[in-house]
Amino acid sequence: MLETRRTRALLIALLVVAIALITIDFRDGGNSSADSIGGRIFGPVERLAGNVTGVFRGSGNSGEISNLQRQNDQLRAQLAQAQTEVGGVTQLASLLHLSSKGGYRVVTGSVIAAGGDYSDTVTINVGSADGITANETVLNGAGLIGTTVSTTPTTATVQLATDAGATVGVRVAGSGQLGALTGSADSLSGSAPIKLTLFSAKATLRRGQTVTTFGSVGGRPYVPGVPVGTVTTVTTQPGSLTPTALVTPFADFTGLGVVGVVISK
Amino acid sequence: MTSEVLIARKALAVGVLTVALFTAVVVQLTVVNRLPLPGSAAPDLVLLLVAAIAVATTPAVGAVTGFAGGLALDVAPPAGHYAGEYALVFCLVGYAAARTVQAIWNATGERDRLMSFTIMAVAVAAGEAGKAAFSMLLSDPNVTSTVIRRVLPGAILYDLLLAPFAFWLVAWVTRGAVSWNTAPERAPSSLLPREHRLAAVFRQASAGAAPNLRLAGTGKNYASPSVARRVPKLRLSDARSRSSLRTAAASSRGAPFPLTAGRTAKLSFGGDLPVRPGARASQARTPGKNWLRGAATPSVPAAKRAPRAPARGWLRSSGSAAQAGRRAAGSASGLPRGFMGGARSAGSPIAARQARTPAEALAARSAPSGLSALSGSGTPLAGRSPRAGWLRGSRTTAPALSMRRLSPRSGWLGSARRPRTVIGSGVGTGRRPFTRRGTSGGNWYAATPSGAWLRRSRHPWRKRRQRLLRMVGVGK
Repeated sequence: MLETRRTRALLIALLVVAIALITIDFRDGGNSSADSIGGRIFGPVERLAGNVTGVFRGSGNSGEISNLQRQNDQLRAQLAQAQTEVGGVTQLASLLHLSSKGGYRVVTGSVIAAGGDYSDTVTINVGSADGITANETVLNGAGLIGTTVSTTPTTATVQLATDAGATVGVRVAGSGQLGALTGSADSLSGSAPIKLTLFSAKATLRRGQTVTTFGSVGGRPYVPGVPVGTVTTVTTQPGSLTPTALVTPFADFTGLGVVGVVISK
Repeated sequence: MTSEVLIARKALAVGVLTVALFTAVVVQLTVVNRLPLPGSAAPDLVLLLVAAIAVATTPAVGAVTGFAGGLALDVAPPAGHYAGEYALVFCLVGYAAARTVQAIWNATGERDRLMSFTIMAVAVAAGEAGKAAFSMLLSDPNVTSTVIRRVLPGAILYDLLLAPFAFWLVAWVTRGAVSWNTAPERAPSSLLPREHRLAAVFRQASAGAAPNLRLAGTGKNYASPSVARRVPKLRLSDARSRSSLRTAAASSRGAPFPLTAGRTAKLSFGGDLPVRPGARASQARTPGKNWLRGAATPSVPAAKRAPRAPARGWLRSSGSAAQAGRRAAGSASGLPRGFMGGARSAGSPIAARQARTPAEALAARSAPSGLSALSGSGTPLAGRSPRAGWLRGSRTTAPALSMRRLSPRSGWLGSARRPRTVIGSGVGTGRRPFTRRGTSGGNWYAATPSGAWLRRSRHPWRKRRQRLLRMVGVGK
C-alpha cells in the first residue's frame, strides 16, 4: 500500500503543478514564461525539422520557387501600401501615423509547425533575431494570413485570420463599408469561410465583393490594404441590426509555405 | 535475469522512451499537424505514446510520462492553448490507464496483451475527449461544440488506427525492463495457454493447505504431468522429515524459515504460533500424554496414536479442551495441555477438502477467479481426511484460539474473509519476511496467497471491485 500511496501523492502533486501553470498562463494572457521557455527549447528543433520537411515540400529556403514567392510577398506589401497612399485615403494614412515614405520592410520566412486540432496557429522560422515582434501583419502572395502573437529569438508564432480569437477590421472594396472579420476556428483542415459583420445597418452586401484590411493604428496588428477574400454568402438574418456574410479567404491556409511579415517602421 | 541486466534494461528503456516522446512532440507539430488529412483532424502521437507507455509500466510512470508529454505540447511554439492544459489531461490519462491495467493484473494474476491494448485504446479515446472538454471548460474560443462534433470522431479514428503501432513499439522497448511484468516467481504465460484461471484456482486450493494437492492442468493440458517440481506436502504436526523444510522453501522462494537449534520448520495447525525457544520446544515436540482428551479425561493414552489422522471421536471432548486452552493461553506461554485438541479441530477443516460446507462455499466464492477451489477435491486427500464428527466442535474452539493475537480470529471459518495458510507460516506472522515488497509474494502455484490478494480481500471496496470486474468480464 505504500507504493500506491506514493503514486497517489505523485499524481496529486503533478495535477497541482498543472493547475498552477494554467492559472499563471491565464493571468498572463497565454504568454507566460513557460511558453517562452518552451519556445527556446523547442524552437531550434522545430526549425531543424522544418528545414528537413521543407525539402520534401519543395518550399525550403533555397530554390527558385521560394525566391519567387518571396518577391511576391514583397510586391503584395508594396501594393497594399501604394493603394493606401493613392486611393484617396491619405488622410486616413496620416491619421493612422503610417509613414508614407519609409514603406514596409518585409521579412520572409516559411511555416515550420502548426498547432493541433483546435487551434489555428502556425510557427514560422524567423523570430525576434530578424526584427520581428508581436502584433505584426503576416501575408503571402495571395492575401492576408494573420498576425504574430509571440516570438522567440528564432521563431515566431502566427495567429491565423481564421482563428476564432482573431478579429480583423476590414473595408469592403467598392462600397467602402467597414466591418469586422471573425474566424470560425476550423480553417487549417479545410477552406472554412470567415464570418464578416458590417458595422452599419444600412450597408448592403453583395456576393463577389472583395474585402481588404482596414488597418490599425501604427500598422499593428494589421496594415491597411491587404486583400483578405471575397464575399461568397450573404447570411443577413431578417430583422438583424447588422448585415453579415461569409468570406472565403484568398490565401490557402491548408498549404502554407513561404509567408512575409510586414515590419512597419 | 540478474539485477544488473534488469537495471541496464530499465535505463535503456527510459532513455529510448524519453527520446521517443521528444521526437513525437516535434513530429506532431512539424509534420502531423500540417498534413491535410480528410475529416479535419489529425492523430495525436504524444497521447498515443503516453497511453502505450502507461499500460506497459506502472501508474507512477504513466502519470509522469503524461505530464511531461502534455507539458511539451503545451509550451512548444505554436501552442494555441494555455500551458498546463494537456499536461493535466495526459497525466490523468496515463495514471488511469496504468492503474486499470494493474488492477486487472492484481485480480487475475495474468497480463493479457489484448486487455492492455483495449485499455490503451479506451484511454486514447478518453484523452481526446478530455482535451476537447477541458479546453471548452477554459472557454477557448476555438473549441466550440460544433467544432468538437466535427473534429473529435476523426481524431479518435486516426488515433485508433495508429494505436497498434505505438503499442507494439512500447512493448518492444519495455520488454524485460518492467520488473512486475516478468516477475520471476510467476509462471510464464505460455505454460497456461488456455485456462488462465487455473493459476488462481490452484492458489486458492493451496492456500487452504490441502496436503499433496497438485492441480492437473498446470502443464500443457490436463493430462500432461505437472511442471511444478516442488509440491507442498502437508505433514500434520511433528514433521520429522525434511519435507516441511521443502515446503517452506517452495512457499517462500527465500531461505528456509530459520529455527533455533537447527530444527526443521514445523507445521502447526493452530494458526501461526511464534517459534518457541529451544528447551521448551523440544519438550513440546510431541504432544504429551492424554493430549487428545484434554484435562477432562486423562485416561486414554494418546501418544500411541498415529499423528496423521485423528481417530473417531477425537473431537468429542474438544469443548473441554477449549476451556483448558483458554485458560492456558491466557496465563502461560508455550503449548498448554489439550491445546492440540482445540487447534486440530480448527485446522482440520483446512486439510479436509471433501466436505462442502457453507464455509468452504464462501471461501470458494471469495476466490478471485470464481472457479471453485474444490473442483479438484477428488485428488489424493481422501485418505487423510478426518473422520466423522470432526467439525462438530469447531465453533466452540474458536474463542479459545482468538485470545492469541496470531491465531485465527473468531468466526474465521464462518466468514472466510482471510484465508490463512499454515504451510511454512509465511503470511500470518504479521510481517512477511520472505517476500520482497512490491512483488506479490508466493510461488506461482502459491502455497501462500499473494499479499495483494490478501490485502484486497480485506479491502472495504472488495465487493464493489468484484462487481466492476464482473461488469467488464473479468472474474466470475
